[in-house]
Amino acid sequence: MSLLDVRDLAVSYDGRPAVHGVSFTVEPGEVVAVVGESGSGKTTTAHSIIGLLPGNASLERGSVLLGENDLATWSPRRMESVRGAQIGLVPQDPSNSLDPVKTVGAQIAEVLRIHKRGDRAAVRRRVVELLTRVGLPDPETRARQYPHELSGGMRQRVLIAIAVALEPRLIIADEPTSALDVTVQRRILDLIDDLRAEFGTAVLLVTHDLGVAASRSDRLVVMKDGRVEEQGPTREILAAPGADYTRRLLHDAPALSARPFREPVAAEPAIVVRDLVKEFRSGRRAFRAVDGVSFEVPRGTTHALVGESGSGKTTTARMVVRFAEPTSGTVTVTGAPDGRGFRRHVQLVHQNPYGSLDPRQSIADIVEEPLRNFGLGDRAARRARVAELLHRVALPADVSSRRPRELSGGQRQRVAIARALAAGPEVLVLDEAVSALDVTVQAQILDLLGQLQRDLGLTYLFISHDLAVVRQISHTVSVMNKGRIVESGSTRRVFTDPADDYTRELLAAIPEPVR
Amino acid sequence: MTRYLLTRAGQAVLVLWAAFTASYVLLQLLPGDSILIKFQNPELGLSPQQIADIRAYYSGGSPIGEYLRTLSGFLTGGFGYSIDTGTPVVERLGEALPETARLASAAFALAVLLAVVIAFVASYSRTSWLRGALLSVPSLFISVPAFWLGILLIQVFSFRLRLVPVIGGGELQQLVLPVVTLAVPISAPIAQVLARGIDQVYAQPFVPVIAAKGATRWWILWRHVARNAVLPTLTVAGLTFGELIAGSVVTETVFGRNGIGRLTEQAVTAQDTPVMLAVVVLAAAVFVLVNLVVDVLFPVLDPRLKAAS
Amino acid sequence: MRAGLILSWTVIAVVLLWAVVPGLFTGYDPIAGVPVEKLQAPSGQHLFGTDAVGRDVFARVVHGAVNSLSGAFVAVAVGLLLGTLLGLLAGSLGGVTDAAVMRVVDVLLSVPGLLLALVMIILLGPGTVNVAVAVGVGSVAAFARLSRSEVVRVRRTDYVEAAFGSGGRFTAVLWRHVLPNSLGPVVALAALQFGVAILAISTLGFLGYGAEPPTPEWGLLIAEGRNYLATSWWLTTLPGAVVVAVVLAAGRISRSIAKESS
Repeated sequence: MSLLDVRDLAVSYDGRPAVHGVSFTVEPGEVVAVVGESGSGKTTTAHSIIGLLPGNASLERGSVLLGENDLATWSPRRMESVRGAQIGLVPQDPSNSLDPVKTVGAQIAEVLRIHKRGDRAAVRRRVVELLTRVGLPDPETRARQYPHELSGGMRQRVLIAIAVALEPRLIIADEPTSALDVTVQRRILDLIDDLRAEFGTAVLLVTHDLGVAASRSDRLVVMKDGRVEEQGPTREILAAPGADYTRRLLHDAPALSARPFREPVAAEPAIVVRDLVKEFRSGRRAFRAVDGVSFEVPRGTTHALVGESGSGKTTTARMVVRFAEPTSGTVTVTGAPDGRGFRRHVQLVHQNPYGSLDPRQSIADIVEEPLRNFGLGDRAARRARVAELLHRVALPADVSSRRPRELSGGQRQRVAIARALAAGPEVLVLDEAVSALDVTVQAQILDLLGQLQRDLGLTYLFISHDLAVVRQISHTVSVMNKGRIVESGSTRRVFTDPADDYTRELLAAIPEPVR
Repeated sequence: MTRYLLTRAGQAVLVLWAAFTASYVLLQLLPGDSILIKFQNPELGLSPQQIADIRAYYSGGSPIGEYLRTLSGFLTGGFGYSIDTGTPVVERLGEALPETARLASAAFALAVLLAVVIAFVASYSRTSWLRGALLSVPSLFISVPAFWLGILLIQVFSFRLRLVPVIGGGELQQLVLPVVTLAVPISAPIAQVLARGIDQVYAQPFVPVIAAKGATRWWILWRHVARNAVLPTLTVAGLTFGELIAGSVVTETVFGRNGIGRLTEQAVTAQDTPVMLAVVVLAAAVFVLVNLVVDVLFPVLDPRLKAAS
Repeated sequence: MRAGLILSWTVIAVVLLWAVVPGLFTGYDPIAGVPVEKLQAPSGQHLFGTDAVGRDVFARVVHGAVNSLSGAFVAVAVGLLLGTLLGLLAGSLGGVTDAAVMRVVDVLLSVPGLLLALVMIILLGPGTVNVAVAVGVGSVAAFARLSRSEVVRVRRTDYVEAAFGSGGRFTAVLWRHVLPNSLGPVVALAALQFGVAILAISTLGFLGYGAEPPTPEWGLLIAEGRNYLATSWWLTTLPGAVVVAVVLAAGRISRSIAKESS
């Protein structure tokens, strides 16, 4: 008998169906990955298993068999005995998943106290034991600390300790690593693997990242729009995907598609950065976010700055577009005038397409704004140019009268790109410009950026934490760590023959089963 | 931590000084000599000696000198003389203060109790109409004029039901209706912020994690949600202390109690600027002090702030 | 919930009409009474009953609307203009201006609104306009704080940075992006303060610092009714209920504006 048997599960939000009849099983001790893009219903499915759906959601039909018990029919009261004891949860975002005003130790002890496992002293011993087991050094001290005193990776370890505290039969891991840096991500996934082997716990891994799913699961469940598109053994699906959607996912996932490298081109530099330093002061202490960074970008090519959070890549980008003042060092953009004219020449595309568009403006107004600011053309000419720009970024003409909130994430990012192009710039700085998008949308935007570069001869400075994306789009790469560039060179050279240990660690962390 | 405390205390003193100076300047805009003329009014029944004292206190010197004298008077506990009665302001304040302190502290306690009951029952209840009804109570409370509420209470409880005597009765009996009158409008913002705070904490990702441990609804509400929602509520509760003194003006007038509020009302009618200045500074001092205490409590209740301060 | 909002707008509309065309709603004289009809309980003839000199209470409430509403408008205008100007300056200029304005706001906040209004009344003397101005001054701090925090919030958004990045000048970005996006909550506060001002004005009227008798002002009406508490409940209860209805409606409308703008 299966450990978990979900049959024909259907869930709706405020009467609107979100999950339509999903069925799958999890055998004891195996890892089943549920993969899908945003809106696929994967998280809703996972949460309905432990009865933690939000208030406006309701279970329409179906059963959730844990062993012989149908949890779907259980009262909330009865579910409390299952949660934590038989099914553990590792949540999505470790930064907000712990109560900020309680110590880490108290929050691990809580699960033992709720299920009345042992007296005070026994609980305290078990907490230290668990912290040691999930790999936190100096567990006694950690137990007395508050969540904000721990790094993201350490918090996720604490959350894993909570999930495994009572050695449940099943752990639901809901995007357990998507908020973490790649090197941390790998260590956390390794830890989950180890614990599974040790306790024989089954894992239901919910993820948007096909790379993670492919490298860590025994079986795959591919979801789209609330339905299961395809399921089966991971290796078989990767080798011969049955559904069109799975094929497209596999093709679009940058981590899995081995595309040819873009070779560097000899051209005069469009951007020259020399010995760039940025210090932030808080009180008397100074912190060097960027520490002596130098690089050049040849005209018409893409240079990527890649690094984990806190590496200084975004601060560098902001200095290049003159949104931040360097403490020392220089940024030269060839041919760009000083003052306001600089903004006609160099444009920034933000990471978050939801925040970078004024919610009160129409799409046409947004794209037209640079033209108005620089007084380019009369009203009719500007409108014609807006229509041309929208066409160029492959948006239908009828979006021009709409507001940003009526558009999807990918469409919004197209609008942001159209606005950036409006005044005819030569340099585009893209700050994590595709990181917030689903893989299929991401692939489309990357294609668009490549197309625009060929057509308009644009120079890109591409900021990203995602090596797989960088590999696909850039000609040259600089790897940043702690404010410094540790390695620079052609994308081919850096990816195939890394010289620096940190680069090697980053590359090893890309989940790539086909590698 | 000490640095944080010292900065906050310094700011508090500065605000208090600025409040004093601003009110002093405003109240001083009245023609100055009128004060002295008023004291010569024989109806006040002041002895020549008293008039001479007052004259010495209020006249002579440059405006700056006068300001500094008043300021040093406040620092040493001398608030000048009441124009209305000729008695030292500090005496009138001293007589009125205990009455208002009793009223205000009881009202504050009741307001917090009301707020907590409203917010908790609304959050815990699964009955949506009860929840809706409870959550609309604060907006009703805040829309009721306090003077009208007082009158209504007298009408119902004293005249109709004859539960509380209009005149006479014990100290406690006399306190009940004024306390309710003062507490109702003050409980509203506390309840609103507490209920909103609870809602916001429920939306935090850490709540489902606690539920996934197998915790009961009450466990989650009491041990985690309430504990986190206390922080914004404390801020608002601190801000309402100023309203307690303002509210006592109306409440004491309606119920004919002799406290700071009544004193204020008399001071305005008689244009008794020294008394008014003292009341304003007293209110500002209470406000500043309470909010300083709140600031000190914050890092204790929220470990994240301990690091930041 | 929608029904509550419609009702709220209806209440405000009716009271506005009372202020503009009181004659449409009542035929009785608000000032001159009919002594023989004094202290009558509410009836078909006298909706809210009559007072001690035989005046129709409903007529006095209807004719009093103009006093309360215009006072509240003046108060909100004073608070909105002064406060928003201060908050806008502080939020958009930042630096020393910001620090200075916010210290002023701290000081204003440290003195309760009613006491501040009473100080203004000592200074300006009693009277309807003075009371309205005094109440308005009491709300400056709230407007300043909110508008500043809104401006600061909007200034930190990516779309404002993108507007500067598109070559926008400071004033153009302020006008095109910062103002429209920070105004919603301020308008909501103005609606809320409208109700608060009606409360405050009626309170000051009750204390005797507003309109002179026999002017039909809502607070004063209730104060006059106090002497007949034991016998004539309607003199205080019904005018007060009208005040509650108007303030509740303003609060409800404010919440709906706040929700729309978020």
